[in-house]
Amino acid sequence: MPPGNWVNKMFTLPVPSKTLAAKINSPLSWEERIEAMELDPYSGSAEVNLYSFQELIAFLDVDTRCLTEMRGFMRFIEPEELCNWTRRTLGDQDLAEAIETIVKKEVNSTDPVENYSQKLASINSIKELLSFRLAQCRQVLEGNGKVQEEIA
Amino acid sequence: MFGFTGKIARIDLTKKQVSTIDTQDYESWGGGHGIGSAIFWDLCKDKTINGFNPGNVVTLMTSPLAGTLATATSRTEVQGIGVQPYPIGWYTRSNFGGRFANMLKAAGWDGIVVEGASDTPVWINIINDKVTIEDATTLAGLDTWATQQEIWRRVGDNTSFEDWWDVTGSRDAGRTTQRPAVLANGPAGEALARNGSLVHDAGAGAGQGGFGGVWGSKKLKAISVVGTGSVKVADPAALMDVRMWLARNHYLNVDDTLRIPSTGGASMGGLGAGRSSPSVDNEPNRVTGCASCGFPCKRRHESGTFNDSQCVDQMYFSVSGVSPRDQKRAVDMMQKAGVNVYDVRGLHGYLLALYKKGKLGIGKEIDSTPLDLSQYATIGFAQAFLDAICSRQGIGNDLAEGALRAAEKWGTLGEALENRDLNYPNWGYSAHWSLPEVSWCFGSLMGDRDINEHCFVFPQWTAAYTIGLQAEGYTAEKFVKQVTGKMVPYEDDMFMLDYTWQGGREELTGIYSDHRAKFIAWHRHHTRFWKQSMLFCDWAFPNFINAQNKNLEGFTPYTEENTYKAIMGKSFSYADGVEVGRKIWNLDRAIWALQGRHRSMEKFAPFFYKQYNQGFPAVTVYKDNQWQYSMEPKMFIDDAKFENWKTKFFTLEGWNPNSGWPTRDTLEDLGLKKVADGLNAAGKLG
Repeated sequence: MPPGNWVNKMFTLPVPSKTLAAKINSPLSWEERIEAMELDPYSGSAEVNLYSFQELIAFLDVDTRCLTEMRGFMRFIEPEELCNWTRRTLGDQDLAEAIETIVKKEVNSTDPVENYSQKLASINSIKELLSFRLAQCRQVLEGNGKVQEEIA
Repeated sequence: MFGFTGKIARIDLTKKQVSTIDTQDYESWGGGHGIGSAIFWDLCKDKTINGFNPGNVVTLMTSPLAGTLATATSRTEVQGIGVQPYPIGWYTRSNFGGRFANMLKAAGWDGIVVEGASDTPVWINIINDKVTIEDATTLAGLDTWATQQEIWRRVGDNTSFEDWWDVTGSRDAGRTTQRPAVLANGPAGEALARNGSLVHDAGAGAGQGGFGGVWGSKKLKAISVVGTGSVKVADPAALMDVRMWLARNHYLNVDDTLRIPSTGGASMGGLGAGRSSPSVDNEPNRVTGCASCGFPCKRRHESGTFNDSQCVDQMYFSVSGVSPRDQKRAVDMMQKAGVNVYDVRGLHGYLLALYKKGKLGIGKEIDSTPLDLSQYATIGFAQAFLDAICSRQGIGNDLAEGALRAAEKWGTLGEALENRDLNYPNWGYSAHWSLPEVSWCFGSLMGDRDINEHCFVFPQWTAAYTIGLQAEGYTAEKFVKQVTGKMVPYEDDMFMLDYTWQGGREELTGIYSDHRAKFIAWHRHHTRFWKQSMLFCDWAFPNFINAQNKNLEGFTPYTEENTYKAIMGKSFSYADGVEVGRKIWNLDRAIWALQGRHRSMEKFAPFFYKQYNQGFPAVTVYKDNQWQYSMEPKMFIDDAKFENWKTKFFTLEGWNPNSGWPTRDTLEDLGLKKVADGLNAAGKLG
């Protein structure tokens, strides 16, 4: 997804350093993998190991019909765990904070059930944010600084 | 005799003999699983053999309700000693839908018993009363779809099935518009793969248990059946009344839906028309269903791929980076190979994990030849993985042994079950709705497999997530009262649905309590009869609550009781069925005891006692003196409390709490004296 979507407008996500951009673009080792969940109302849940940031973006997808109609599926990770992983493994503080901002904005119900539903639904916004971050990183790596300024 | 046809085909593949068992001799067991277990007890002389032994007896039983217009009952229960369960191949079960059961009844048979083993490949050809054992030499190696097509050609004598055809060459002897219903074994089963499944039509299959491998050991390639008869129904008008009552009060009316979109067509605890798992990429499709079903849940797709496959099938190769189109193609490959998705979807992910750890790969410590894990997220790998199992070439020889046995051979099993690299909590079966829906994991461990019974998952899911219903005032207390109110004979105990798992109440009213013991007992007894013997489909029954009913009333137990009465011509209550289920459950437990089951073995994999995400957190809890919907995504099992719970459960069941074996008193109370004698002779009486 190209930069310029609502996430881009909502957040000021500083341009990553070349080192961080390279890290985000690299394949992940076993120790660095991210564990996500795949869930279908009928077939159950399964844990999925993902081995790149790009793979994570391709994977995440919460069909919100799943929350109300028992249709579709959910491919998600709990936002808190994603934040932890982003900080710990990628070392991307800015991205982690941006994720937390989305959660703060979209997850606000006091009803525990609705709150959890909101949390799951927020994954789609988070996916947009991650896509934006990946595009930023690629531009950093490909643009040799020129594009960095445009993004900034 | 209503409902039953009166006879069961007994086929000895060693002697190439066909004889008949009188159904009446086993009628007290209800049908399906009950009759299957009773016949197994009588005919399998040494129950300690492994599933590949020619002495293994495999039964395929229908319900007395099949072959009529009873909704959602065209299912066939497959039983015998399995080869998938680990560490012991427990006596186990699977079942499948489609047209097979109804066709078998139309041919005049209530079931099929397969004994012995052939020395050359064979298939069984049933045309009405005539049962023959045919040469399958030229079918060997064919995939499950090609096998069915070739048998259709042979039995149908090249008819195009576009019009009536005379099944015996004589119009007066019977004719039909239908293709023969064929249950086929694929190349995986022929290779004795423990993850080999049996496949009928495009996507109906008996996967769990490894019956493909069992058939492979008997050199049985397929069973084909075509029938032109019918089943006697005591009161056809009453049967139609039940169906019309269902349609009026509980089915989704697409022109006038009662609750949409919050609950759509979903009948809580069951499904409305077309409420199946979605196509991977929402490709245009039309709904189809098993014979006689009023809740059609399968799909036929515009592209012709992924037809009839559903549920976990679609997850065989849902690998990030693989296009939806290729994911669907991979599912068809799996069906054709006759491979059980539940074992292998975790297995190929585990291969990738070992590859990432640097332990597995071509030329590595665990040599993956012929599989190149660098090509993992490709359709080519999906096919190569199946080919390796079917050929047993290279690492395929290990993969065909199933996930846990493969890991055991590689020396990685302990670590895999400690760290959840293999998410297989019990008996070598992949996790499912195992937690926090504890009836799932407790029931599975007390039994022989992954129970795969969605009785409580669907209602919990829908009630918890359906904000619309909560807005209507459908509180957690109402939900609990309504569901437990149907759980006879424990209908007064609301605490059965208290999923409290920590904080002090877990042993009083929560998941380790006597209440939960009653819940698990009810579930095991109920499903053994109503789901696996009457063969009411798991995806539609029981129906505790129903979103398309103005009062949210489910159609259980009215539908089950009145369908039974209309067909069989006698009253039989829901509770009566649960009690017969208790007898069946005890017989199964006795068989497992003979096979080596002991309380000390009934432990989950180590990871199950640690905290991790399960992904389905919606449950009901009693907290602060009131019922609440709760989210419990991090539930895990406490070893000591679970051991205490086992004592409560065994005591409730009338089993010896030290061994978990049924006692003589319990068995004789159920009319199972000969079973008690059998256990006593083996030193396994509780």
